[in-house]
Amino acid sequence: MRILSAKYMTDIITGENSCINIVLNDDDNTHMSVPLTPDNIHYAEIKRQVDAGELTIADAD
Amino acid sequence: MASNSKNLAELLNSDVTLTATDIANDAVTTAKIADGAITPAKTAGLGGVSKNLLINGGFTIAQRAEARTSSDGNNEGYATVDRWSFRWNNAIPGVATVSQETSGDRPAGFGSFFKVNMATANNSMRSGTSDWVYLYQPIEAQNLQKLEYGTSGAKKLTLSFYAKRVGTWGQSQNISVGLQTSDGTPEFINASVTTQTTWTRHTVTFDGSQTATINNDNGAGLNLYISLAGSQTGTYTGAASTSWSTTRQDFDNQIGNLLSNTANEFHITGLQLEIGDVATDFEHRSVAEELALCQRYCCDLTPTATGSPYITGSGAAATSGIAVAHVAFPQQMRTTPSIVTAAASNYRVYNGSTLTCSNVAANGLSPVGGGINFTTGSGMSVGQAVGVYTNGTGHRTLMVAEL
Repeated sequence: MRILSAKYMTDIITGENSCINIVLNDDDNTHMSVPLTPDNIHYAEIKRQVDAGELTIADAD
Repeated sequence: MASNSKNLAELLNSDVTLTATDIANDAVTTAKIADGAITPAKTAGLGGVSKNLLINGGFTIAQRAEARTSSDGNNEGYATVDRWSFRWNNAIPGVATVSQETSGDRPAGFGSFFKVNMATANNSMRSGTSDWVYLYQPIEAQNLQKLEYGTSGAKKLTLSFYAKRVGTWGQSQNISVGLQTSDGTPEFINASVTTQTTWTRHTVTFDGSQTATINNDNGAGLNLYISLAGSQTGTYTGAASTSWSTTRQDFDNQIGNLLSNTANEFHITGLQLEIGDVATDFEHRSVAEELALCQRYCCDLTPTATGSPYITGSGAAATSGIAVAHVAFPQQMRTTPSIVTAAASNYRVYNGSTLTCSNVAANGLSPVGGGINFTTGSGMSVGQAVGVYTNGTGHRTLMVAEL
């Protein structure tokens, strides 16, 4: 999964990080909103790339 | 003595054994079989309802798209037919059109098949590398407990499928079919299958693994690989094995190269993986049954209406700049899904005025549903009811919880 950008999104009520929005480097620039759930394959891949130093997730606004 | 009968005296004296050829055709009718006379041991291998461990083996469901142009990093993975991931390993060159086909030459009784049609060739697999192109389906572990892997009772599995080759491939005309476990120490087993230029049903039986681990959870327990091209001297290849091994071997080293020429194609359907050493007839499920199984892993919330298709579910403004649409999934999904969409600017929030979105984000989603935030920045009153729609039918809103 080739990720162009990644950014945390916050929960409206709690203000805490609730998901990560990413844009893929593919023909469609596919957008994903990925929950912080370990058995979600997209979250697992994001975490792998972060741990490998390949990806940085921007803080939420 | 007639060929289909035995002397009664001989039988009574146990001088001879009654054989199948001694019984006339159609002589054994249902009425002559006592109730309970046929035991499970005599029907092993015949399968039954949900005998097929694979989902969408007939390629009848394609929620994402019917066809895509695929290459390494682009429309790779789950891009067309449900539950089937088409992958390019090691940044391997080449481009293919992958598609669900519903017309043309098909095996009798099948309405759909999956086609790989080369658009840009790659006639040289790089020696000693992990060059590899494959079709893949992971199977959820908790559905595999009946295999009894990791015990002396581990069950054999039989894979059957219909395939057809177009063109003369590079290296050989073989594909590799294999299984891989995911939990604990992964184990591998694979075999070679020679493709034909007419639809042909192929069958491969794999032994059960008495040492592999398959957890009882919602992760991937067993992965099926249909490998279509690869380096014959590659990092993860070796001779076909009849027993499971912990040495990584993703595909057989007699593999061909589908990618070698733009005239090449590969067609496949009727994939079935079932317990036992016999390939029984393919289990044709209804479209409704197959779709429901697929929706545990991918659910398309894109309405089919033309014009201004609204997202299913009610919506309300949580702030002046964020509307929340509440959605319910038709099936409980494997895990909390990702929302996969086109750019947020393709979504509109309607509250009497039309507002363009700048962001789409999950908000309290779970495997059964939840909220999706649509950010407009301004223009709404808190608590105001809204509808959310896309500005064209080409924009999909997918919930994805694949393995």
